[in-house]
Amino acid sequence: MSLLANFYSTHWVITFLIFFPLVAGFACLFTPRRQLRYVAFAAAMIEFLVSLPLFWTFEIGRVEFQNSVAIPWIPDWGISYALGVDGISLLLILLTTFLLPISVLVSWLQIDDKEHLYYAMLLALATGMIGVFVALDLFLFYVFWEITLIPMYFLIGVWGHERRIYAAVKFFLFTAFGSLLMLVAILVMYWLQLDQSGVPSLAYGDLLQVNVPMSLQYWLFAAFALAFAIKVPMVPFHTWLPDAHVEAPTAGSVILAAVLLKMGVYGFLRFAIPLFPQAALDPTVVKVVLVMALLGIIYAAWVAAVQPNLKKLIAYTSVAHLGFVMLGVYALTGQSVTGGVLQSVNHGISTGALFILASFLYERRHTYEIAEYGGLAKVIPVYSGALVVVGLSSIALPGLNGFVGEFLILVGSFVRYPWVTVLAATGVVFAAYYMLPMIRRVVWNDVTIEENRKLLDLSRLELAIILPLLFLIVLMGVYPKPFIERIAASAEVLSEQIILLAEEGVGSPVEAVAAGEISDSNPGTR
Amino acid sequence: MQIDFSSYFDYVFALLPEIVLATSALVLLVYDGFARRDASDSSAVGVLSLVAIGAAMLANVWLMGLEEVGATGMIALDGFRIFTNFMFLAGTALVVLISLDYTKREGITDGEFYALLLFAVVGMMLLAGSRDLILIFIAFELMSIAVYALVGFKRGDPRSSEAAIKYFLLGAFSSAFLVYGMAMLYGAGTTTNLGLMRTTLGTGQVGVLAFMGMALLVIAFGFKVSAVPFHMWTPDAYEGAPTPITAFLAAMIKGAAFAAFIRIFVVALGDLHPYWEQLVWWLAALTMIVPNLIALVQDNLKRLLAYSSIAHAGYLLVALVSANESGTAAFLFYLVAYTVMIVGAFAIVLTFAGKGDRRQRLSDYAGLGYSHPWAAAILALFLVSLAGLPPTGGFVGKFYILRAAVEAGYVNLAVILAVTTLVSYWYYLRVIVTMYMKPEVEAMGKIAWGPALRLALAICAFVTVYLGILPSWPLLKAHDSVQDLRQVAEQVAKVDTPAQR
Repeated sequence: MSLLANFYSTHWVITFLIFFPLVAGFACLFTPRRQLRYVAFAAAMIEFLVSLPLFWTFEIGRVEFQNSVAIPWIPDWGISYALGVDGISLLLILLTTFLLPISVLVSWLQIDDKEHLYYAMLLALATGMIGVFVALDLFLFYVFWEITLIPMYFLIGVWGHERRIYAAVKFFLFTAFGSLLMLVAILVMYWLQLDQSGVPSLAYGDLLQVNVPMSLQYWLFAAFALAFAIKVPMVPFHTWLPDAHVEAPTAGSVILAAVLLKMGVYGFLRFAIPLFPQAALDPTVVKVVLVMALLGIIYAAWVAAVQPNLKKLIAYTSVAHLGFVMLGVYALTGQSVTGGVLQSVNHGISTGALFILASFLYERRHTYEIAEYGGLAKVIPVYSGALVVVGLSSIALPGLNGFVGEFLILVGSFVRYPWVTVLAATGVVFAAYYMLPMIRRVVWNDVTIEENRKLLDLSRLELAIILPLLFLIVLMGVYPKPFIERIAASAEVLSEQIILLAEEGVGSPVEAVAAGEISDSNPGTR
Repeated sequence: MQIDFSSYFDYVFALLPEIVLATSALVLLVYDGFARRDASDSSAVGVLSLVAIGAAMLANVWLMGLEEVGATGMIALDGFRIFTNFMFLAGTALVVLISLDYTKREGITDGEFYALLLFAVVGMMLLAGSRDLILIFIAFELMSIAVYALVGFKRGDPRSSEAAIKYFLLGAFSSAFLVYGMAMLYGAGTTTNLGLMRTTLGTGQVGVLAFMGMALLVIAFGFKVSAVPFHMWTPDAYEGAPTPITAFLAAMIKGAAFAAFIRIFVVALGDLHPYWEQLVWWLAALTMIVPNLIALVQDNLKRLLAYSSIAHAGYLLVALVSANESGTAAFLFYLVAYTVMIVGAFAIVLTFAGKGDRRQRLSDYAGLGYSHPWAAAILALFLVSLAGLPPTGGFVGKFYILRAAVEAGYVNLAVILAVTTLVSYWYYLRVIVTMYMKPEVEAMGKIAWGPALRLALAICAFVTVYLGILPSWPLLKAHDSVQDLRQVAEQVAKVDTPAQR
């Protein structure tokens, strides 16, 4: 028992979660075809079950990183294998592992070609995603960040729909553009750190101590923020997302929406804002970011409303939801950040479920066109019920999970940016404007197309896929406390610290630098 | 053991690896002449050349125990030389391994192939280790002439001959530039010894003569490392040459020329950095931008890799222009990573090309990811590494170069490197797209790769991943090797300055 307790109190659980999928994925390459899907599912299930106890072993209210470790990796460069979990990353990790078995099951239905490579890539993707959420060394973070690119690229490019190659390359190049500039920024930080402390290090804790000169801070923040904004994606860097979503296989869409986008949000919260608080909270920068978030909320909602393609519609709702999340993150009050993180998780679940439901239709009719459906409630009532619940959760109906997150974001942000929040709140209305007509056109109305009369309702496997998602949607809507309290402590401390740093910084570092320059040039002035 | 270069006999000890190798090459030539030709196979010579390389490696290990008295000998005895020697020997061993299959397939029965390779390596080792302009020139020629012959080795193939002629003509020009530049530097610095030149040229004003000497040397080395705008010969020569020689050109020749480049510019002319920095800065920027753009439209994989290798010269130039300790160490580390990945990539291209090197077009690679999963996966690994994505040696190397550039204050070059890397993703991905995302057009059938080739590929793949995941030990080695490079140069400066005055 103590061995198990030890496993969950040290970094081993995280290390296992990172590398187990990689090993399992590699094993998948050599598994006989007949057992392949079971092996992949078993691996994903093990991953999930191992991660699940983290939810309870996580100490609520503790602000420091838990399960943390720092093993020297490249000691001469001060680069270490540094991991840690806090309230911000915990739920994102669990979201990843929760969706993994579901994605494997969805793939059972969909993928019947080159399966070995497929499951290997799907599992390897988990390595990168979990690594991103726990890495506390910028080098390590960057490595994991880039590692997620290749499997996703393959998932879209090999098993996607018609324009898959275009979408895959676009996805890759957009993300890589941001991350390469971030790499240069990381190196500049590295150099600053070395310059100021004399010991090279890329550890998160050490980098927080670096006093970044204002002139550099804007550039560095811009480089980091660009990488993350592309990933989130914030308007106007969002154009890769609809393409990637539409072309990706279902499991790819689910993971892309649920987890990969959250890497951008996480990057803002963990790195871009805390490392460069003065630049991040500079009024102009704040304005730009808020406008981008608002644009995301409103513009994407409008665009979503006119989409004839189900998957594209869901893709644009992602952009809109992520706009909310970014508003919460950027408002930097305890509540809004908590809401932002919680909404990230909620969005992962709801949008994941939406993509899965859309794929169920696609399996039956081989089209994503909304106009091809109608009156499904009479033909396939169970499916229609699920779609309605998930759709309502996505537009934040009270009692379902989406509401809790959006409410926290709006309440938290109102304190700081009332007008922006009021505008953002209209997004909730627009959400109803795109989601409800879609549901009406698919589920209600009359059956207009003969083929739809013969559709079969959800199979047992499909039920097994969608029920866990529905369960969480309701649970997190009705009883969100356990989720919120795990995030809250970290979110509050983080936002307080950043605000403090930024306010301090308004005067001191600039003055300090200026004073330093003066004293350097004229030794007598002090 | 102590080596004192005032006694000429000690040069024998200091040059032991080169002597071993040159002797073996001569013996191989004679052996090949007397060996019976009906075997129609040169692999015996190939295997023997591997033995010779092994012996030279042992001699190189022995070299590590030597100590130097003074530092004015024509040949250096520092970590830099030992590191590069190991590099060149190991890289050539890889090239020999992939040649064993190739020569058999293409019916190259002349054992001179391997003897010439060994001569070229001797030249490269001397080039990287010499501390005297004269020796640099001789080594440069020794290396080049052997390689001219190797490029044109497929005498029946007009492309091979064309490549050899182009390479030879432009190479001869570059030699001329080199010798002019050296003459001018000699005029300005009154010495051919690099250690002494640091003192004579480092102090006081730099005249027109020294400046022109530097410019001419930059051009000469620019030719050899195929820096833009002196890169015109590269794609043609790379495409026409026998594929193992292409790998040899891309990895080793470039490395050797860079090593001498660094010895002259970063060490001997390090104090004149402000004077040559601009020139090399532009060279680096152009060499990163131009080939990465041209490679976007290449349809022949060999040409694509040729442009990729030009682009890599640009990245190495960034390390060079940084002219600091991390820059030089980054060069060494990157050279190792680059050698294994480019040799590996060319080895796969060679395998897929089939007899007569016919299948080199990108469209020939469609669907290979599924019909030849191992070969395609390994090629994908090398491409990912060339692109500089983690977790591969290419990424760590690029990180090191970027670090050196940022340290030296060249953030602009770092940004150019990052953006051009992004551009390069496109064409590396294109190959992966073709292999994995396009259906097979014409079945390739079984590919022939013998045990030697597979061994070479396994080594390359292993090192690529090893350098990406556990780079700490090689990084330390690269760092240490550079240490005494600077020390020696500074020591000479200290010792000789009073005497000069």
